[in-house]
Amino acid sequence: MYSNHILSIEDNPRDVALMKRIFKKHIPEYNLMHICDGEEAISYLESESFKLALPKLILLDIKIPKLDGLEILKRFRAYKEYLNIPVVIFSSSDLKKDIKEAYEIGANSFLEKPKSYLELSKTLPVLIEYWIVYNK
Amino acid sequence: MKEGSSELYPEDLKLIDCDKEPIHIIGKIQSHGYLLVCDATTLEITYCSENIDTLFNKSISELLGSSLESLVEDHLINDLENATNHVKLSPVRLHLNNEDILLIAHKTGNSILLEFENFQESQNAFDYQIQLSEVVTRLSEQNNEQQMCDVAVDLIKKLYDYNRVMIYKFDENWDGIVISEARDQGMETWLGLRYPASDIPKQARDLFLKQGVRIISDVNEAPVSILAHQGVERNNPVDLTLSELRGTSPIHIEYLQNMNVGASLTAAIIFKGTLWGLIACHHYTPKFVNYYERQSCKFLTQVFSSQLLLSTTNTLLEKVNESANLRNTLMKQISENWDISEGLVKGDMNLLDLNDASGAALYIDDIVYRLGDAPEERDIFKFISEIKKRSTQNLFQSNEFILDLDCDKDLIRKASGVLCVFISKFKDDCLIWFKPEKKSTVNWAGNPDKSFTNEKNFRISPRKSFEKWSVSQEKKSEPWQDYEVEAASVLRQNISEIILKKYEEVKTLNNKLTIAYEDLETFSYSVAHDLRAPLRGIDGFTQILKEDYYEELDDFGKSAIETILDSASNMNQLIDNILEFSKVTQYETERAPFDLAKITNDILDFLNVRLNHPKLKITIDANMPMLNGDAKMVTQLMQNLLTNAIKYTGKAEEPYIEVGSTLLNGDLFYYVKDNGIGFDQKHEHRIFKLFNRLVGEEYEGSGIGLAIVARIVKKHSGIITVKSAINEGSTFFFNLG
Repeated sequence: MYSNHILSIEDNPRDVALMKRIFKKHIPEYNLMHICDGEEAISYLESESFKLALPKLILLDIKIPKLDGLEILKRFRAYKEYLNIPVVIFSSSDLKKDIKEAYEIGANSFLEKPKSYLELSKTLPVLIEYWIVYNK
Repeated sequence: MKEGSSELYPEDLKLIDCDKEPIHIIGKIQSHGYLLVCDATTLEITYCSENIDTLFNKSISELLGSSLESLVEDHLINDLENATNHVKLSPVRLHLNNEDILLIAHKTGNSILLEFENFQESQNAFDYQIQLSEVVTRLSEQNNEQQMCDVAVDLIKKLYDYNRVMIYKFDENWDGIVISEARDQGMETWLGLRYPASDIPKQARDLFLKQGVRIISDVNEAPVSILAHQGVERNNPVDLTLSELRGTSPIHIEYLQNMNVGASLTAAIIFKGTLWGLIACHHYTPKFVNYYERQSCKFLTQVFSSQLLLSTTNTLLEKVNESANLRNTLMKQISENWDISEGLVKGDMNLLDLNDASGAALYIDDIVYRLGDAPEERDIFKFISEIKKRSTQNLFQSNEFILDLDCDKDLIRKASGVLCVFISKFKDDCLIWFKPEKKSTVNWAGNPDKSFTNEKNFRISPRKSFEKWSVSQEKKSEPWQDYEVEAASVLRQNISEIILKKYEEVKTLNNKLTIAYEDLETFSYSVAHDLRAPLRGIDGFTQILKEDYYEELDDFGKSAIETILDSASNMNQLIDNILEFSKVTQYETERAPFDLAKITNDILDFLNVRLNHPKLKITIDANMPMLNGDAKMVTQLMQNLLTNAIKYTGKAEEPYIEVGSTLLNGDLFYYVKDNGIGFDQKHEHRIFKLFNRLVGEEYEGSGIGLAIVARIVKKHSGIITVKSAINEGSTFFFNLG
């Protein structure tokens, strides 16, 4: 059952705050839900409540406490029924090995976090639009 | 009865080479004694000397083929049967035919040789003992070779009363030189004379080595033939190697006759198993020295030999010790700052102290270091390649190195002798020592080239002339002594070990550095990355302030917000540059040919230069040669150079940038030239260093751009230089190796 929200797994509260504002201001039609800890994230993804309200898109950071973002992705992609939920890696890393691995284990996109707020506020709406509207 | 083995001795054989004369089976004995030979198992008499009948009152035909048992007593037979091969039995005094006779017997192969000579009452044993201990004492008091030899000849002369006693020393070619002499008054000295090796041929030297001492009692007396029993193999003549009476080679007899010698005594000086020299005694009339005297002479010579060995060994030990100390010093000097040339050449002690050389050179890491009276550098190179031609060993020595080389007088004077050790197997790095030419006069006892004269039938006969024949010796140095060669060899090993140790240390250090460097790269990479997050916070929340509260702020508040945003942006740029810089280091270059003009145009398009800087005039040489390198990196390089050029021509009246190629000292260089503010040429090295800026805040920049450029060039093993002057623009030249 899809719900009209986007799930962000991200530990940096400043980035969360900035993203929340961008959503509110530029794409208010979507809700942003966020989890800031790896273990919490995976237990949510594997829970019944997740099944009841599936996100339209998952934004996943790599460096997050307790469980690494790529590890979360690997476990999440084991659920065949969720394969059509796009996962976009949203990280400050631009290491080749991270990018390669992310795609290998089933990321739909790999996006380096924009450097400035202005770039971020332009990027996020485009990203959402692409994965949700065009990808339908 | 047949003629015996004496026939085998080729009396008129056409001898080509004196070395081939089979003197140990000469088939004759000297006339002062008698010989009987019997089969060691059957005791049947197989050979006898022609004069034997006078000793036993039996005819030769009676004796040959009869048993020895009928001639000598049973206990003697028993001793003979149990004799050890090649060991002489104690002599036995016999009374035969009213004469006192001494029997000296030994076994050789399957034969027993019994030699008889007149018995002479030997000296009082007590006197002899006193004399002997005196001799030993006197010898041991001497501490150098010459003194010992002089003492020895005096003693022998006194004891045996020959007209002339000499010590004759062999050199490396077996030529002999008289190094010490005692002679009767009125005789001409032979001291210092040299005799060619052919005078004492190899087989004679071999016999001396085995026998130790030998006399010729009367040079002019005809020798006595050895006769064989019928049926005894003629091809198996009596081996007289250990015989006391062995007849003398007719060539040698002639040789002695030519010198008017009537009798001789010769004792071998044996040094570590080889023949070092001879004690040679000459008498001008016949002279017999009995067995006991001969044995004591042998003993004396042995004492002399061992004293000589001891003294030589001591000298050698001293030298070895000296050189070991020196080597330690040199090694210490080297390890002080890990510099081989420094340690060997520039310290308190140097290479030259290691031996008696007058000059030395060290060739290492393509540099020649010269010490003392060493040849010029180009001659040293010539020598090294010549040495490599002559030998593949890591040690080379010669005291006549220059003999076959075309050298000028100065070089001959400096470097007739050469000792060289190669430090490395794969390079020509080496140490060389030089000894100067030693012009000397060699006095031959007669012309050595005419030691033998060919007479009719080509029979060789010894030379007749013993007149002093002087030859001057050139292009030779003093020989390299064993200890000098040894010291050089050990020094070579020490240096090799040091090099190996140094190599290992450098390798370890290098590994550590590589790890440290990688750590540093990773560190700067992650630090730069981690700075992004808080910076995004600063930038983001300031932006929010600006969006939501800007109008509520006064002018200062507004400008403060702008400054924060500006600073955040600058910092982002800095982080970009640092990341870019560390990426250049991390990535390997992938070379391919490309067109620099095209890349330049792409960059200008990408940066929108023509639109953003309408005043700027840019010339690009479209015919530049293709560049071979990593296109991605070179794009980065050009982008930095162009950005700089644009930046620093920003205030020029007619800003101008030129990209092209040119030759500098014969090498192709590409260049980016501008007419911007330029800088003082003295800063040319500083500007390529990280965070080194020559300009103030009026020009934006992180001080990383040119460091990136330099790194990219270095990655390609290329060269970058800059020509500039204040207010006259800059030109950056680079190539990619």
